[in-house]
Amino acid sequence: MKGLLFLLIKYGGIVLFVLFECIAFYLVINHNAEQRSIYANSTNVFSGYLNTQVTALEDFGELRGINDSLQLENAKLIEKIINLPGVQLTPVDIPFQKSFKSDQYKLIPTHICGKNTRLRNNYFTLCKGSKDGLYKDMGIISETGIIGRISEVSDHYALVITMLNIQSGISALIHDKSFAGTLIWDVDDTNEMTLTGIPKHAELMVGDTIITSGYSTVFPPGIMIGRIKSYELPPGDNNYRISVSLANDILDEKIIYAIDNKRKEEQLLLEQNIID
Amino acid sequence: MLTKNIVRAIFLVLLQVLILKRIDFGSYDFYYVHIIVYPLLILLLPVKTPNAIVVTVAFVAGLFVDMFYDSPGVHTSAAVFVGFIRSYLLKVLEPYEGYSVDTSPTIRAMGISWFLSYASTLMFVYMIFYFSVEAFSFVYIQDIILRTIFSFISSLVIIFMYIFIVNPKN
Repeated sequence: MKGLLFLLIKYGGIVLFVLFECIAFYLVINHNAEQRSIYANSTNVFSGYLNTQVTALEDFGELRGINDSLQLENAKLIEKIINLPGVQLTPVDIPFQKSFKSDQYKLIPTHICGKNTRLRNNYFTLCKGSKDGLYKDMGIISETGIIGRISEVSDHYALVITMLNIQSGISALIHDKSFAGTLIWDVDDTNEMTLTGIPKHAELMVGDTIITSGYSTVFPPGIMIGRIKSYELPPGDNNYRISVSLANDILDEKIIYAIDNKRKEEQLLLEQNIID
Repeated sequence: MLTKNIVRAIFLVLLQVLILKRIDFGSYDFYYVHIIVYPLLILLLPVKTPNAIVVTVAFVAGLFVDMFYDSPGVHTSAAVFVGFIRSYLLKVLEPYEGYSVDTSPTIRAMGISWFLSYASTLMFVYMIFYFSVEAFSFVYIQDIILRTIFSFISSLVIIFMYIFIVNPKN
């Protein structure tokens, strides 16, 4: 008994300390809502971390679907811009008159299934075909510029000839100058095209904006193509030879839109009549 | 001496829960100052008090303060911890000639620099323990540190004011 008392005096402090701390922490955890919830949460830090990771993975899996819906949304927005008279799908504000009604152009969002970009004639394969409403000679654009046009179409796929093609000839316009020319690709640079057919009396400036003319049925007017990089007047020629640096990197595009011109047939038929 | 300690303990606890608890320096985005003075009753217990008794006193005082702070166990745990390490700190700070019988660790008995290191050590331990338990997670380490620093400084000022006013002999 004496020994026990001695022990208690000598070590009582530690024993009581441990005992009292246990009581104190018991009280802390059981009678403080805040600490209890923190305790509960802290024990779940690891599982919370795992949950976050799994959710992130799930989200990643859903990205494709989200992307598609966003692309559809985008298509509708660009559609609205294209169809607005006087407004262009360009980063610069170009006053330009349009006289068509506002539902002439529909955009069909699609993406690129295959690319063949190391050839002289670059083409893409689209993941949508005639069953999705695509048809031959539709214009293909991205959010930043134009891509090309559909050359062949099957039930589920479509072949796009990009602008970077020896056959391509896109009717283009120098903004504010009203001189229309034809854009061809006769250089090796995939970021550059050549605008021909601009008469030599035109006053040009490096940096002038090149936009689609809308004279063909493929592209609506006013879509940004690029800017004048340099120009020259070949000796004995009446037309400038203008190097145009493209606004977009055609070979790097991923999200693209096919332009459905609702009045294409009508226009072509009429023009056919005139030619006849 | 016993009576004096009991009176002081009651006074400090009441001062803590009735007055200091209501003093709120905090504004909306600066809420780091909490004046906590009552651990002084643990600090000023006579040097030779058995550790078990110190811990017990700390436990009771802590429980009492917790009753008013509506935070069962938070003050108690810090007070018990401080009471427990007090004897070890006293051993560390023991003067060459040792403590004389019936000495209380006061300024009058031990000198101001001694008391400053003694009181500031224990109060700092109290603060950091208290705010850690209050936050209960080191996720809030920045908050804990800021609260500890500001509360420690302001509390120590109040403690010294108390000491200089009362100037306890034991």
